[in-house]
Amino acid sequence: MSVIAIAFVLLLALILVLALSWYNVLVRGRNQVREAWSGIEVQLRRRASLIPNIVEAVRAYAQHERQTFDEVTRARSALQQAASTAETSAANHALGQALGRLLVVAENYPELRASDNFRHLQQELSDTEEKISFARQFYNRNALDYNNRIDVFPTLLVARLFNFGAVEFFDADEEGMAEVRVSFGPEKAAPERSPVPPAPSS
Amino acid sequence: MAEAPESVLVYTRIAANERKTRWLVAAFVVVLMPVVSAATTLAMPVITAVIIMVAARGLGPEQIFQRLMSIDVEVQAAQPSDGVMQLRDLPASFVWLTGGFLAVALIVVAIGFGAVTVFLVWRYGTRMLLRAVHARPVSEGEEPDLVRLVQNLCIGAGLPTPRVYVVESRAPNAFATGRHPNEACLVVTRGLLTLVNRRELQGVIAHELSHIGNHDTRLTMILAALVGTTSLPWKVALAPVRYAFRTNPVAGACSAFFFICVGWLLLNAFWSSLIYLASDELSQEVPPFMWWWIAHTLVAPVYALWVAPIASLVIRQAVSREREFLADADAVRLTRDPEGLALALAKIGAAGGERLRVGEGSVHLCIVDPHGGGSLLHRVFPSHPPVVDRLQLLAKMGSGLPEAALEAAIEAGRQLRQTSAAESESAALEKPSEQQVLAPTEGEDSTEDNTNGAHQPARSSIPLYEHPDGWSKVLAQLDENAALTPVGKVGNFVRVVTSDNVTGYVSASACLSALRQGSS
Repeated sequence: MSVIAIAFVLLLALILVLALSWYNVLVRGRNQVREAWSGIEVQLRRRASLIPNIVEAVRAYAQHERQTFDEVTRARSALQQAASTAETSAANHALGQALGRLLVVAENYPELRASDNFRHLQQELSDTEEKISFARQFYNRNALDYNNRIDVFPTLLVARLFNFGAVEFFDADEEGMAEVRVSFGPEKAAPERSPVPPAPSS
Repeated sequence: MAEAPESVLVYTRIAANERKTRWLVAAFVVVLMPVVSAATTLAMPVITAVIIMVAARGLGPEQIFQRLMSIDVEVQAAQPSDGVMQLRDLPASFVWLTGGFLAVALIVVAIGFGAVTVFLVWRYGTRMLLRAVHARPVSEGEEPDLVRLVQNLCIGAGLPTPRVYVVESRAPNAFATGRHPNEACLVVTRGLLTLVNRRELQGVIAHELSHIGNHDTRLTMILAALVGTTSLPWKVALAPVRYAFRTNPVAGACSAFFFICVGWLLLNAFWSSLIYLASDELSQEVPPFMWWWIAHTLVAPVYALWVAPIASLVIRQAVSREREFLADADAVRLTRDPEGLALALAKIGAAGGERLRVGEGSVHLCIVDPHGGGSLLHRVFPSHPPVVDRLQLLAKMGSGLPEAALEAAIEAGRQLRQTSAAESESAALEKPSEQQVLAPTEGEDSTEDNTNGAHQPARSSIPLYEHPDGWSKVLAQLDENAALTPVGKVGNFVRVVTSDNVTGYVSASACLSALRQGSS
């Protein structure tokens, strides 16, 4: 009788310890996702702080393209106000497209393209785009890990018990990216640089 | 290679690699464990002799013999009547004596191995390695493209940005080192920077970052130190023979034969004398507990001198190859561009031959084998999988490799090999300036540029860019022999004025046969 009781207590303790460790795993995963998200936010802020400079630089040469400037400014403030992952994702997409149009406009002004300031800003922007895409990838990988943990058995039980919800992925804005890349993407704009023609990537 | 019959999931590759590595490391530990015991067998005669010499200071040889015989007498007195001696029948003095010698030998060997391992870890450590290859830290101002690329990939990999170093070597290679991701260093050679384009460089850097992220830097450093330690008995034993070989091969061969035979005989004589002491007389049956010793004596030298060093090396190389595949797969997960890494590997592989003098501890962290084979053993069990295998796997991860691109990459690498072979002769004359620091001084051409001049292989013309970057508008395609006047230097680009009075930028690596002519 007492043996059964002891075994029962031990089993209970074991389950408790396991549950605790699963809980910790989930909390750690959630914190990692948050940290990865803050990485995206850092890069988005970085780009947001570049945009006024770029707009000013273009405005100096192309005053009448008011509509394009407004669009970029609007998209930028929309991104800054976005709260959820999906909203941020969508706003980022819109901003990418607006920026792409702005840079297409800039293509028409040779003096603008030649100016050191604009060139520097453009380089910064393309670098930041790349940083955003890598930060997004890191976030999505962490989000995948975390979402998997929430959905698979043993941790599933703890997740349900303590309301660990799945996180959203930060979607790639493929069209927006492509459009921006056309104007100054390192690979596509400078095929001469590589002796090898870029392979068609999937 | 263009047609990939089945595609490989990156995640599957990674999981399989990690499982395999775990088994290999376990096998490594199993091989290592008896080494100390085997080496003790080897070292015990020497240590016993030293102890006897110290203990018998002031005693004549006869007295020593007397003492030893008294032990023998004691052992004989303990001989049981039925004739077969058991371990428990041995007199306490004998057990204490041999046991004490054994313990001392064990401690000495263990401490020796530990000290050697610690020394080798330090020797293969980051600082020594960076010093050995003359790596120079670069800032974002000096190499903006490279440093930014590293920073961006680190964001994707979730790693702290490592310090970036450049080695002014024409061998296209890259490696990572450092005990922990927080103190990691990433080293690329000038040859690599000039050979590959940005997309390919991204693949290479991602590969190295994966080594850092997977803690391969630490794993291989420790494995290298342990392999160095296991091969220590072999190296110590063979040092005189190797010396003889170097002076005279025939005498070396004779001395090796002599050394092996006499060494073996002496070792066995020592252990059989112990056996003789423990048994009554030679004619009598050997005590059963001594069989273990006899087997040990016969096997231990073979194990400690040959089996363990070779087995540990083979396993270490197998671990290394697995980690290379793993780093390739991880790099693809990071860049999502298997073709970029594949083309870089094709180029670097075709350009092979040039050596980079990195230490034993970091060979496994390079993108390709920096020693280009090395000794026979290293060629049979290479540290890196063949480039072709890696390319095939990478092709399966993506949508396959276009044949034309691959051929162009291989051709580019081959050209680098030919030109650098031709130039190493001429560069030998102006060696001192090879380490020249890239400074934004005017009129700088010299060896730095000369050596890199060859690295724009599959290209007959040089693009003249509007701005000092690789993707601004191309103002003109310059002929390789066009006369150019260098005006200044911005990062990797040289500001030049052409004969048509057009000002633009050319890649410092691209053009410099032209520059040399212009400035001379």
